[in-house]
Amino acid sequence: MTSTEKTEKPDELFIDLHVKYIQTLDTKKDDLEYWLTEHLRLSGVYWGLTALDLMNNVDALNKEDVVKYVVSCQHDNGGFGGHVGHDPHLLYTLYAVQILVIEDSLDAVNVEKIVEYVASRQDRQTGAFTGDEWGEIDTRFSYTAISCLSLLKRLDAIDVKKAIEYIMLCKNFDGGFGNTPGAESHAGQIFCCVGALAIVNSLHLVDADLLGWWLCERQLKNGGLNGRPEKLEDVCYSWWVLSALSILGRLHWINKEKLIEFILAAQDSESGGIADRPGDMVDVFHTLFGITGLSLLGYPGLKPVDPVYCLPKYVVQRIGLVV
Amino acid sequence: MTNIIKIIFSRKITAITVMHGRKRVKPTAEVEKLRKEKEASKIKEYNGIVAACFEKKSKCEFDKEAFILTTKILSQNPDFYTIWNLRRSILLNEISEDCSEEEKQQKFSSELLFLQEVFRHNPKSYWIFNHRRWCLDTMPNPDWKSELDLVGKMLDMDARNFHGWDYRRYVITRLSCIDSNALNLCKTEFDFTTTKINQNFSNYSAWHQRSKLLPNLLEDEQLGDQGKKNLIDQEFELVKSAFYTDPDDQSAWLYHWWLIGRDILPLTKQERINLLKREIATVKELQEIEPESKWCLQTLLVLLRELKYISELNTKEAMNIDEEVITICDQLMNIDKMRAKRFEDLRSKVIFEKTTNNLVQTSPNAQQEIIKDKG
Repeated sequence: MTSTEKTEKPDELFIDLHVKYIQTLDTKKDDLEYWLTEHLRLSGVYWGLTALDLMNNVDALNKEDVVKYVVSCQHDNGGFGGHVGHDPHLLYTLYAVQILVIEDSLDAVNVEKIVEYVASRQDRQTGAFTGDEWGEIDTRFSYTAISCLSLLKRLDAIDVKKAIEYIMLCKNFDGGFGNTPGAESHAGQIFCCVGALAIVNSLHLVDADLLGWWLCERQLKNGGLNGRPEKLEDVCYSWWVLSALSILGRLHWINKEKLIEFILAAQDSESGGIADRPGDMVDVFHTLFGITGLSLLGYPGLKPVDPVYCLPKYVVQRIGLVV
Repeated sequence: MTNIIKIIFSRKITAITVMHGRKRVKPTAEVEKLRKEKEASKIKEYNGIVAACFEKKSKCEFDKEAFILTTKILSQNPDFYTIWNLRRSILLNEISEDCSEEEKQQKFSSELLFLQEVFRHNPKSYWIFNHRRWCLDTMPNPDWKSELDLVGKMLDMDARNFHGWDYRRYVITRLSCIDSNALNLCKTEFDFTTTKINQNFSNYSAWHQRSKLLPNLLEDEQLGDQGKKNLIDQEFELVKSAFYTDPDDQSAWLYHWWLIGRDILPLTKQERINLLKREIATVKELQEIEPESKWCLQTLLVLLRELKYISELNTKEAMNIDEEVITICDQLMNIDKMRAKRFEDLRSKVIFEKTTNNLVQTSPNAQQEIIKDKG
């Protein structure tokens, strides 16, 4: 009844296909999945737009439409939701700012209100950040807040020293970081903590050799990277592990060629998009992180990506940030 | 950054946003047509419920009807965080009105059962755990022992589910507020990690948890010097069994490196030197049986470097260690080609140290100044 495609091993990046794939994401309205993921709409725009920009096709999405959509997700308290009418949350607030920075349209929103919202998420006693008023704490939110305020040039709005203190409470026996004090090291959290520390000039607090060692051990025989020991390889970890290694100056500790091979093999050579691993279904999330991974590895035809902000380098430079 | 969302479907659905572990199939046009027809009614129904729910929300009608709508949505889509928020608002509204403690308790008990059901299909959703924590922190009489049992079962099902371990730590923290004997809890948790490790030496999550508990146990004054020594010896025995059983598993090795670290065990300098020499011998013994084991070799690098750092070696002894380290780096560059550059970096560093050693006074303190870090 259904046919599976032949096993393929693409050795080139199908930029045109991926651009088309991203452009058609919003047309899948007759898929239930499209409706079940409405809360990720804003995230999807960030993932898609960043990928497009890195592939030199930022105009493949209409700028006016994108900005209008982002603006429609903002609440009175300054925070942004995942979609129109969805509750404000720190995560989506960062996505909103990232999108507006790419589109060079921060003037379309009330920036001061955003700063107020983000700053209000910090617990001044512990330095930790909650995702929203319901109080979930996670170092992802530390990164989100620090990155967001850094892009807005308003790090003065939070207690940076306390924020660092909290992140350091999350450091583990293997040099890595978890989501809260006591939590296991995980590549996603490591990216967040290392990225946050990089923004606030505190990388010296990281044991770069030990953590670099742990990170490069994420590369498996098939060239892909996993997120922690004994887990499966996944294209998205290729970003989080790679960006952390890059920030720590140890990108050369993994085998570049094998990783490129792995990411390229995860493409859908017919319809475009990149999956978590070769042979699986593609999605825009993995498409972005496949592209950012390749960009960090210097793959030709892509703009350089900034490993701290996960934005095209030229965008970060354009707003005058040097990390 | 966002949650890594694992959306579990029982039917093949086109991926739009985030997918993990779903095989790619290219259905025929006919199959696609059938699927879309089937989904059309589901989409209509789902969107209808969501629209109704948002209308309730916009009118601040936090009532039973709204609650039922949230149940329908969240059963199907537990990552729809705005709906969890609404559900909490409804619950808060219900318990703020004329509501006895017993009624409140009952509402939250039902809520916990609902969560268990949703969890069964979505064991890795941040939002489900958030809501569970909120319920327990809001209800009159949370049963922490029962929660501990529950999370024990979760970790039986998936010993590496970090949401489960995080949740366990949260429950233990709450329990320790009630049970003033924090050390006791620490001991039982430590034993829990021993059980998990004995079930599977590769349980990195258990080793990690252990690394958080051991320092607390070592601080127990009642233990005494002999008690501490026994605890430390037992720890090395456990680690040794683990890496002898599976020399390729990184968990025990990384835990071993941490144990050897300077801040962990309360040892004198001479005790530390003896420990390092003993461990070097242990690992070399294993290395003879498993000459291709990269973890044996990597561990020798760590141990030798540490030995050089803390001992007062004369130039000859230090040079011997350097030579040995360089040889091991060469071996590793061959055995673990993927990470060759990592070993190349270390090799270069050691050569640099060797060369520059002659340019400064050869007192032990000066040597230590040069080797600024453990690597």
